[in-house]
Amino acid sequence: MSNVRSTGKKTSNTLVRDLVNVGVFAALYIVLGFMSSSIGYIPALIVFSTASIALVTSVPMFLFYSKIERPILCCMLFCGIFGGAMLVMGQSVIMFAISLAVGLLSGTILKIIGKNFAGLYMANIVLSLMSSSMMLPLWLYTEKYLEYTRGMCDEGYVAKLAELSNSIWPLVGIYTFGILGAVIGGLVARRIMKKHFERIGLAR
Amino acid sequence: MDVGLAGTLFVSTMMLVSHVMPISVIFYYVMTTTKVNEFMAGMSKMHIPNKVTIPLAVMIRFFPTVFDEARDIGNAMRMRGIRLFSLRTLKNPLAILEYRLIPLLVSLTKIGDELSVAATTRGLSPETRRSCIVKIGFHVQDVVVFVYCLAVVVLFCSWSVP
Amino acid sequence: MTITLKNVSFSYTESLDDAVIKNLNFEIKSGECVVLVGESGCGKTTISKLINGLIPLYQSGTMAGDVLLGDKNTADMTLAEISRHVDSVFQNPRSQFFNIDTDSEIAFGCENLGMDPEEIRERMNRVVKDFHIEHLAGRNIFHLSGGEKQKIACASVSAIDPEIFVLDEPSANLDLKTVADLAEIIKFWKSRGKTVIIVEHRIHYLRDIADRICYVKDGQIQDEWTPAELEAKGPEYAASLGLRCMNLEQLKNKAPELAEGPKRSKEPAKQSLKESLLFNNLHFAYNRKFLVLDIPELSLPRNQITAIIGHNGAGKSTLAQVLCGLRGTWRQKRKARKYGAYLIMQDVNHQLFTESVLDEILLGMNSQDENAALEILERLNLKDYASCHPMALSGGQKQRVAIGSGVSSGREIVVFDEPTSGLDYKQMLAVSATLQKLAASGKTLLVITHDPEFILNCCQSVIRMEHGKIAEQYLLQGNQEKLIDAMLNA
Repeated sequence: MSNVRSTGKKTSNTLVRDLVNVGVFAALYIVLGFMSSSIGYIPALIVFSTASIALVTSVPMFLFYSKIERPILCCMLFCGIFGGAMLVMGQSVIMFAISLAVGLLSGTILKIIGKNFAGLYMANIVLSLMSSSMMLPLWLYTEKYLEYTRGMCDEGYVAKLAELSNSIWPLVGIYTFGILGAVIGGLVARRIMKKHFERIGLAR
Repeated sequence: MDVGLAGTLFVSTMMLVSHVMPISVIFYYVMTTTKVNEFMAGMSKMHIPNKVTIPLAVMIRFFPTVFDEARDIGNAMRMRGIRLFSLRTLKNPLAILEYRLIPLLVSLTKIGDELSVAATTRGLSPETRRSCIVKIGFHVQDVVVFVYCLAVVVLFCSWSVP
Repeated sequence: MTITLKNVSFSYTESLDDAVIKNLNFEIKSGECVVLVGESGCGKTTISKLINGLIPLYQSGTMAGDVLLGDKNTADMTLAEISRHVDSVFQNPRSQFFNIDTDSEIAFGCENLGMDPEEIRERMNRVVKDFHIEHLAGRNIFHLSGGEKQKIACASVSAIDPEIFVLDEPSANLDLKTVADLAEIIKFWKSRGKTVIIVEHRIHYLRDIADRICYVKDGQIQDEWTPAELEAKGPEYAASLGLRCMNLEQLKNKAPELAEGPKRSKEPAKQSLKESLLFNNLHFAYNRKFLVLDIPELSLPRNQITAIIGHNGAGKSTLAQVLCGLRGTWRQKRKARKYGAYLIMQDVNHQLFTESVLDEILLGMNSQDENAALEILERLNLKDYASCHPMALSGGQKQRVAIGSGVSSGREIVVFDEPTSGLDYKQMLAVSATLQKLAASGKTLLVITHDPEFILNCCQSVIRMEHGKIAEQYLLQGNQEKLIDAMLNA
């Protein structure tokens, strides 16, 4: 038997596969994130919006993390694309910078800890920081952000936002609930991975 | 102005619509009129590497697909009698998430895998530089639009910073 | 450029013990048109992947032996290099296109290879002229039919102008007229001296095109014939190899299997409501002006299998969706919820939701009766798979799971959307048997299909649709020629 060897190794030939995965899951993340963040349009519930995003997107993200061959590149691209999309839609540059940092961190976690449950779980939690940071400008550049929303919605909503921005606690709440959403979402995702994807053969 | 819960909900819904609307419209316009190869060529002229443009291009191309598949799955769910507020789903709310997401994920990964194969076997590779049948570059029209946008931004900044 | 497989073995796992291809030696000369046939799982798709370089460069697994293109080993090349010489068209039209519009898609491969824009334009124009697809230029790919998408895929690879074309079941989801167009495209390539390798079950359209037909079994090429030789061996021999009918004209003389139908209803009675199911006012329009569906009255013979045929865009899918309550006015939908039909979709993955086959059947039931569910599984030969995950099953099994959930929903009418696309002969017979069982158990079946062999095997009557209207409805018995002609000339 002449030269038995394994095929399909990680080379430039398989790079497109990873890149396509980034594109597919980025599209899915944005659609799901957008829909599940709608809860945040009620100002009192704004604290929960990131929690719902993290919860719902945990499942596809677990699948994404388990499929990619190049964690650091793919995570950075994924988060960068998300941050870039937010930038284009009017969010601040700091959001883009945070996205890249989140991407780098989650990718590194995956690379170092590996693709076992611990790695996927932690990467998912780190990811929630990215969507939580969407509201950061309200606290960092309060006046400018209020001006920005005043152009889009009515006084009542802006007043409520201004109220929220007076104390740091709602911001802390947003991040905490985001992480909480990712924590619960991670457990749900693990159950679903075991129940479904591992039996189908989609997850490695 | 205190408008109470009902008022807040109403305002929030209106706000949802008015906030989502312009973004959706712009989104829709960009998605349906951007040609993927023009987009990629434009990006590479700006010296953004292929590794970035390929996922972006795939993402653009996949948005309609996500909606198509989700709609088909929603149809199948309706036929089975799985509805949002029936007794069955209220007993187990996470089940709705499962029913919605699992077939969608399976379907999308399958399409994604087949797409990568079809693209790779036609020579798509981040290492080689792509050409484009449409000439990308700055023309007079672009300069005019660019100057206009710049003017708007400058005016806006000078207006909001007292 | 000669393609040589030297002592090749391949397995999709990490060990060669479960190799799909074992010690294969195979050669394809330049300019040949080779068709690889065989039952599902025999390894013919794996061979096609060896030729276009997906193995060993993309697909994970274990391999021994070498594949040579000309005198170069594919393992020493990159897929981008290989794509200059070998290009592929796959079976699923919807997942092959990278771009949103047709022009960019046709130019895609050339752009990837960095060709000069002027040259790309020239090639594009040439391909569009050669394939007669002027009407497809400048359009949104999402709006095209499956057959049109497949033509764009062929145009895209043709623009690259490689020496070798690999086609993996290209006709699987196409209607007969589009298959004829596909045959023209392959003839065109052959006339240019290209090597074409086709993996197929349906080979009727390749009778005049193929140079040799290779039968693959257990990862080996067991037999080889010219089309004339294979046809001379008779239809039963071809069927025993899992092949579909080689000569459609022969089908015209073939008597339909189910001429009589179950003892209860002998003919589609128009009057008595017990004998047939009447639907009224099936009108549906996407916008005010253009009626997509215009059927004032539809009568379906009860407990029988009726086929719906018609070219793409005739309204067959819309009819199915309206009958099932997925489309239509609010009133139509509400009525369909009570009296309507259950749809078994073409992509069964869209209707499998749960983690076990048993749960899947129970999901559709109003009363969670496990015994009744197990009985349904028994009838569909799925009892052994009751605790398996539905998505882990084979295509045919998944289809039966979907049928099971349809049965458990209690609806009397079941509509099938292309149940036999991409299936070999034996699989088609299995589906036919399942449908017959279903009809005998009291259901009324409606099948949208492009598959004439299947219709002759299990349907009793035919409805032909055209532009949203019912053009004709007739019993199959005695009308085979009419059927085949209609399907070929749609």
